[in-house]
Amino acid sequence: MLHQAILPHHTKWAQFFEQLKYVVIDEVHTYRGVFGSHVANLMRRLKRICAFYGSSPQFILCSATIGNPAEHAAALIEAPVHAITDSGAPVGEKHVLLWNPPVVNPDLGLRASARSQSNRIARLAIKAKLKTLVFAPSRTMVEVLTKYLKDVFDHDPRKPARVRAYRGGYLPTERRAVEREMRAGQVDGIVATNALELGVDIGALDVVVLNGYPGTIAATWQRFGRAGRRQRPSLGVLVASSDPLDQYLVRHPEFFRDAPPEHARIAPDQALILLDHIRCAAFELPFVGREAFGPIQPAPYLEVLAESGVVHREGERWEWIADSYPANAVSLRSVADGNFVVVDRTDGRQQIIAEVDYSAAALTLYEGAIHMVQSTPYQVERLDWSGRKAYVTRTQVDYYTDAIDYTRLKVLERFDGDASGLGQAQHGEVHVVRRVAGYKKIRYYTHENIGYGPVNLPDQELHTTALWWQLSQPVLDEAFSSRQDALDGFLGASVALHLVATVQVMADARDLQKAVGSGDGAWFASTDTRGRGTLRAADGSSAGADALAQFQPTVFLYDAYPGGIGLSEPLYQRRTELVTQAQALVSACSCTAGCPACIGPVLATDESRTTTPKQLALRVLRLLDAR
Amino acid sequence: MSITLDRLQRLRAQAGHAPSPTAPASPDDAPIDLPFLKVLMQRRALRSHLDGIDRSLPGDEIAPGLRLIESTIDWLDAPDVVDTRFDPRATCAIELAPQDVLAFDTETTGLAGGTGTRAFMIGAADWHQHRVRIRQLLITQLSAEAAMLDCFASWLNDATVLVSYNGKSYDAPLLAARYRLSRMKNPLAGRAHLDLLHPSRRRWRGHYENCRLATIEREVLGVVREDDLPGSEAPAAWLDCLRGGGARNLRRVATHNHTDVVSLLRLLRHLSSTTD
Repeated sequence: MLHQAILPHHTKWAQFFEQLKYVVIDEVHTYRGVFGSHVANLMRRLKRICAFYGSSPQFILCSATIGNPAEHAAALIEAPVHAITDSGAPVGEKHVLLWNPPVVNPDLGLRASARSQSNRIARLAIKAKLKTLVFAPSRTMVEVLTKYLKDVFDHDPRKPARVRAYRGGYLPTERRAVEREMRAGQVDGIVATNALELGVDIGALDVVVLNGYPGTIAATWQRFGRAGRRQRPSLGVLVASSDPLDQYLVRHPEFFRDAPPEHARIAPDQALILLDHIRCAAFELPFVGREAFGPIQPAPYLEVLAESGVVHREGERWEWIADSYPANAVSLRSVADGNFVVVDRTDGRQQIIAEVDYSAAALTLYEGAIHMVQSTPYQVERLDWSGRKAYVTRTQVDYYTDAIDYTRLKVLERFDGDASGLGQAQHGEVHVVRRVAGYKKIRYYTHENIGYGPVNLPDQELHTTALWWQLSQPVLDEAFSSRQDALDGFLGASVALHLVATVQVMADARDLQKAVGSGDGAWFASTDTRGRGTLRAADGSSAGADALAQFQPTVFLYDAYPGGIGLSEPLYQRRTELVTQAQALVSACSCTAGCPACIGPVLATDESRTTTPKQLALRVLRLLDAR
Repeated sequence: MSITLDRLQRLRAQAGHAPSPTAPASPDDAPIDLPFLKVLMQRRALRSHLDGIDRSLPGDEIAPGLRLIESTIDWLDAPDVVDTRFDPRATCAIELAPQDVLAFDTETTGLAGGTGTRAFMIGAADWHQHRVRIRQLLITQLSAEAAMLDCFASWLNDATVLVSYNGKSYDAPLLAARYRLSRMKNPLAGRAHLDLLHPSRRRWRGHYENCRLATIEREVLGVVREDDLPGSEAPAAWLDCLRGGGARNLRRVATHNHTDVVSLLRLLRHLSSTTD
């Protein structure tokens, strides 16, 4: 509204802006990461327009519990704030259950899937006539869970559906219809992604089931808060997945109870986001002289805009001259644009049934992928990459698909570096190439892998910021009997470091990614089906570690957005803490050889190895420990 | 990381920025071969010096970057009185003195709307000393906008009634925004305004393929335009000239605007005289 309607037409709101006294921003804890960075820039634009009309409004920000409310609010509005942190709101009776699925293989730390447990809990709750909401981590998982619940509750097609799915990617009309039904109480079970997290009114619920930890404590409470609105008792169940972060939490319930909530972070000066908003701001008012945009001197960005002909420089002024409305082309939710549309061609139709973000397209719309909408499976027949379209047809299959991808990194520029134990910790700019090499077909219910398919898509490239740790070849030769062991150690260490880093910066796990590679892009490592590290050359073919002239494995943690989103810099500042914590995590873990909660899953055969993957990972972490 | 053009464009591509214009309305927003374009622009600038590209514009420069093009025609007599009953929603007197009427039309940088769209030309026609006087303001640099707005305001007095075609919805709000942005009082605010689009629609809807001014003037007034520049090409014509290109198309925009405002007075006379 503010972004696309009011600011670009501010002259129509002149009186409003002239008299604007207060700006209230609710739920600011959600304005973090990419979205928050956009919102901070939107506030820069708002303040710029207010200044034009001679007003200087006071900002009032409200937030769910976060660790740094004052700092975050100040970052959003770029002005000093006074934090009020005492709450007077009555709290209803609320039960929270942390549910760890039963162990099916104690040696490997393998547990029953969170999916099957969430399904079971939801089924029980719906049968007990409790209105139930299940949050699933991904769109695919929403569809899978919806199918399972529909199989139980909606087998009679003559009756209205009792279970509905809700997620991004549905068309707005469909989402509105689901919301209406939920408010009217016609639906007993809803399966949703975080698309349902905010601002969507769906009425009162009794039970909220989280299939997997949503990534932050704040988001967990936010989702639990969906239940028990009318001061009735409510139940929130967090079903831990095999994801290490989930296992970490469920084994340390005190962390969940006592840990200070997350810090919200934004990076408003991210280059692409800034360019988008300087473009919008130039449309709203010309930039004059050395006028700053927040703390930024916008001249280089304006040069870029002038080069593409949308602004015109005349003396001291940069004026908008293009016949376009830039706010419509800027989405506040993403860095990427260029969404893919999914076109249903069943029986000669030509109907758009869904939209998929550019960043998710390679992972979900490859040819052969099963793409589900309201748990109806469609198979992707053709992907028109440049045209941003995927053509699908209705299909009847008993499996879903999961992409297999490889990541390769190359260091472009080093901003800073420091000794880290016997090795190095560094921070800088990297070039990431991500390739989707193929996909797995996974059968419903049994979750067995029933086949593979190849994928032939352009590599996804990304220039972003990262921090990394490496050990020199002499140190490695001294400490490890073979390169294979060193590699396994690095892969294990990467899991632990990624885990503690994700908790540290309170990032969404997908915003921060990890990788192990050579640092010059010559090779990268992944864990193969036997649980051992495998080297792959730049082209994706397997390579042997011993054949390499130079062997210097490196652990990377990188921001998963073009240009970075400001995660790796604070992580670099806390580099020693991270290594220490990763070490503590691994050594305190109760498993014998390694498990998903510390260094990643290991196989039974590793139990009998003289040195376990866990020991190897610990060895790497100790060598990197600066103490 | 320092920000360079190259870097920004690379990041945009990685973010999935489609290799097509982000907003279809804007041909200037399309990613283009910039180095090549620069060379072309330099060449063109050079050529315009060497070969003397035709950049001449009509009228006189009355302020830096602001031209006034003035002309008269004497074949369109003023009615004795303008009868406004053809517009039941008119807020002015039922009978107007013809010299109080000012027909106006703007040429703008586009149709996208919002504060980023501006008028580069304001044309006006009125009956002045028994003739039709046409005055057109044209800016050749952006900084002349305030002077143009100021000059247009000076053409209006307390008795002036505005006449336009779709001006209530388009030209007047756009000018209101421009006055606001220039921190000037909007002389159009609260002024009586006869928008001929709605009476024309009421009268001729279904008679012709549409009710655009060009259609009505052809069908009703018998005006035939020669070498008329389509309105959609006006923004490009002006930008081209602003960026140092030739002015031929911009002169055609001026002619187009001239015809428009004269047609407005003719249409007003027609509507007024055929009221029963």
